[in-house]
Amino acid sequence: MDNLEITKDGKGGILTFSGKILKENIRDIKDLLIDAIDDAESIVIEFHDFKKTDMFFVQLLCSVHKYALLKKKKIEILKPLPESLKTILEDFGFFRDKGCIKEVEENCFWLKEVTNV
Amino acid sequence: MSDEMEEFGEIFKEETYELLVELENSLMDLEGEPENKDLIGSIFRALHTIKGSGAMFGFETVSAFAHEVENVFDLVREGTLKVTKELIGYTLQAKDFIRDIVESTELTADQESTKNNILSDLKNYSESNTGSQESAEDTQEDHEKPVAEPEKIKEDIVNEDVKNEEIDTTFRIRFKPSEKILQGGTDPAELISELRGLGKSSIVSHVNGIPNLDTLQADHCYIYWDILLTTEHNIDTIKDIFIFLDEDSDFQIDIIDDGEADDGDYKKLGHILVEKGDLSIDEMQNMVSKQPRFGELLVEQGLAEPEKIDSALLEQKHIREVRKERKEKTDKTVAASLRVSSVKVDKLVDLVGELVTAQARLAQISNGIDDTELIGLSEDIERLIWELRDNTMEMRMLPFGSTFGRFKRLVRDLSGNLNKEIELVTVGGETELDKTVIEKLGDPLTHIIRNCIDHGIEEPDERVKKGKNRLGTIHLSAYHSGANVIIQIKDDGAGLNIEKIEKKAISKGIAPTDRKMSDKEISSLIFEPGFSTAQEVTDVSGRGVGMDVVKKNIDLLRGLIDVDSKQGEGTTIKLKIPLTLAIIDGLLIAIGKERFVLPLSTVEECIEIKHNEIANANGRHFVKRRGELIPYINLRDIFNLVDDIPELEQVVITNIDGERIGFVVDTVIGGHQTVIKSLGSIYKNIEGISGATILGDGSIALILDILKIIINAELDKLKEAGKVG
Repeated sequence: MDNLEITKDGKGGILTFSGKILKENIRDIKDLLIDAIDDAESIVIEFHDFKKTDMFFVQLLCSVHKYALLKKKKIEILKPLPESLKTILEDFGFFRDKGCIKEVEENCFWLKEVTNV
Repeated sequence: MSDEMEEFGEIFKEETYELLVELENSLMDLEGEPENKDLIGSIFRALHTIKGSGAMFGFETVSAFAHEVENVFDLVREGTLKVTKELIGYTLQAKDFIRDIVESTELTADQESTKNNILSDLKNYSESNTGSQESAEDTQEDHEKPVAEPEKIKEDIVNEDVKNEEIDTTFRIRFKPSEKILQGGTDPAELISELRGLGKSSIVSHVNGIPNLDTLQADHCYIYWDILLTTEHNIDTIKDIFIFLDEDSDFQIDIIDDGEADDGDYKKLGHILVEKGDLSIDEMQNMVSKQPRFGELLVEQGLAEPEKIDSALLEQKHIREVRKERKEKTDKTVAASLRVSSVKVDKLVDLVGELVTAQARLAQISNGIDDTELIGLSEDIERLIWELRDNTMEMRMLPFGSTFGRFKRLVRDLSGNLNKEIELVTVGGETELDKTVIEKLGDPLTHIIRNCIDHGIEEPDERVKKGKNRLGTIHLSAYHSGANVIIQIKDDGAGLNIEKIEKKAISKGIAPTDRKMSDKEISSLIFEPGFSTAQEVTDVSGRGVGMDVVKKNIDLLRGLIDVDSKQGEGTTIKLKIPLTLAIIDGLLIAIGKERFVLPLSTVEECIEIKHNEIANANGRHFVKRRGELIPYINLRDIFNLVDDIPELEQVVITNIDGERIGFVVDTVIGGHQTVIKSLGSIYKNIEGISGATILGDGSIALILDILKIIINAELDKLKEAGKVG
C-alpha cells in the first residue's frame, strides 16, 4: 500500500499516511490498520507529504480511534495536521470544542486546541 | 460600444486598479506569512472579482487571464500548492500584466508573448510544486479545465447581484444520508459542498454512528450533519440539492432566522436542543434550575452527547453572528459611500477655489458700501464657503499608506536584482494628505528609496562582517506636524561618506575652500545639481541626476528636504510637505503697493519696528522680542521696493523647525484664504515665490517661499563676507 507505511518503534506502531487518500482506496487500508493496531501497544498517526483526502478518510480515522480505545491502546495523532486534511475537517464540520463522545472527550482527534486551529 | 457600456468599462477599470493594489499588497504580505489563509483568501477574491467583472463588462482577455491565475491560487487555498517567493514573483508579474492589458482592446504580439510566459511559469511551478506525480496530474487537470465561458461568468455575476438585493434567511438543515448513499451514486460531500456554496454556513458533523474499525464498511457513510445556512436563496433551492437523494436518506429543513431581527441575540442553548428534539422540555427545566452552565451539566448527566452541545452552540454562535453582521450592514448602508471620479473632485476643488476668490471680492465690496445687511450676508456666505472648502479638501485627502504597496514592491524587486536582503518597515500609513501631493511625491520617494537600496544598504556578507544584521532595513514613516506632513526615510546602511562628498564638492567648485563646513552642510551637498559620488553608473542610480531632481520636486511641492547621516550607521532623509497644494490659510501683507502672502502655519506673531531702527542697524538685522534676539530679513530689500517707506513697519516672526526668523513688511493686512495659482512656466523659476493668488479686488498677491528667501539671504551674507564665490 503506497499511501500507508507502518513502522514499529519498540512496542509502539507508527502509521504514516502520504499522498492522496480518497474513498476509493480506503478499503485497502482498513485491514492493514486493524493488524497494525492489534500488533502494537500504542499507536502514533503521522502524515508525510500528504496531498489530498476526503471526508471518508476522516470517518476512517474516527473509526481507528474508536477501535484503538476499544482495544485499550493509546493512540495519538501528530500535529500540525496537513492543510488538505484541515480543509476537509473545516468544510465538513469535524472540528470539536468538546470532543465527539463523552468517553473520549479529552482524546478526540479533532479538538480545536489539539489541532492548532 | 454604447455610452453606458463605456461608463461601466471605466468603472471596471477603476475598480480593477484598486483591486490590483490590494492584490499587490496582499502578495507582498503573503511573502512574509506564506501560510496566512486570510491573505490567500484575499488574493483569490481579488482575482475572482477581476475575472467576474471583466467578463461582465466585455474585458474577456483580462477575465480569461485572471481565471488562469485564480486556478493556481485555488490550489494554494486548498493546501495543495505551497507559497514561495517564486510563486509570489510570478503572481506579481501576472498582476503587472493585468494592469498592462486593462487598457488594451487587443493584445499586441509582445503582450501575447508575456502572457504565455507568465502562464507557462505558473503552470510549471504548479506541476513541480504539488509534489507527487498524482498531484501534478491534478494540477494538470485543473489547468486543462476550459476557461470559464464569459457568458457563464456574466450569468453568475448577474445572479449574485440579484441575490444581494434579497433578504438573508437562516436555515437549519439536518442531513442524514443513508449508510449506502454512495452506492446510489450520490456523494454526500458534494451535496454539502453545494449547500455551502449557497451562502454563509456553519456545519457540525455527528460521528457517534461511526462503528469500530473491524465492522466499518469503507464505502458506507455513518455520519450525519447539522448545517446552518444563511442565504438569499429560498427553501426550494435548498430542496433541489437533495432532489436525487435515495429513499433511505433523510433531510429536514427549518427556518431559524427570517432576516427580520437585527440584534445579536439568539435563543438559549436549551431552547435550541429542545427545538431540535435532542432534549425534552422537562429535562431542560430540571437542569436550568440547577446550574447556569447548562451544556456542561447536560453532558455530565449523560442527557446530551458533547457533539450535540457543540452543534447547538454553533447554531447559537452562527445566528448571533448573522444578526450582528446584518446590523452592521444596515448601519453601513445608512452611511453609504459613493464612488466619484477623481476628475470630478478635482473640478469641485477648482470651483471652490474660484468661490473663495469671488467671496473675497464680495466681502471687499460689501465693506465698501457699509450696508450692515449686506455685510451680514457676506459674512454668512464666507462661513459657508469655509465649511465647503474644508469638506471639499477632505474629500481629496488620501492615506499615505496607499503608496506603501508600490514601495514594498520596489524594495522587493530591486533588492532581489542587487542580491541584497532588505526589508521595508512602514509606519503612519493612516496619515492623510492631498491626493495631488501624494501623486507628486511618488517619484521623489521612489528615487530616495532606490538610492537607499543601491548605495545605502550594504550586501548581506558585508553587513555581517560589520557586525550588522544580514537583513537591511528601510523605515518609511509619515506623521502630521501642523499644516504639514513629515515623511521620513531612514536606512541602516553605510551612511554618507562625508570625506568623499567634500572632496568631490570642492573639485566641482560647489563647496567653499576657505572654511570648514559642518557635516550637515556637506551632507546637504548631495542635493546639488550634477552631484554623484557613485563609482559606477548603474541602471539604478549614479548618473549624477537624482537627488537634485528629488529636491526640485520637493521644492515644487513647497516642501523641505533634509538629510542626516552617520557613516557606518545609516542615513535619514526627512521631507516636510504641505498637506495640500490647493488652498492654504495665508497671512496677507503689504509692501508699498504690492501684496504678498505668507503661509499662516509658519507665523508666530507680528511686532512693530521703527524704520529708523532698521536704517541705523549697520547691517545687524536683529529684533528683540521678550529678551530674545531674532534675526530678520527686510522684504523691501529682497524685492527691490523702494517707494513709500512708512515710519512704523511690522516684523512678521515665523518659526521654521524651531528657528525663528522675522520678515519686515509695511503692513499686516490679516488672514487670507489663499487659493494657490501656479505662476506658469515663464515665472516658475523665480526664487522666493512659490505661487500667486487673486485678491478680492482682482489684484494679484505673490505667495512667498520663505525658506528659499532665508537660504538666499544666508548665501548673500556669506558672499558679502567673501566666504563663497
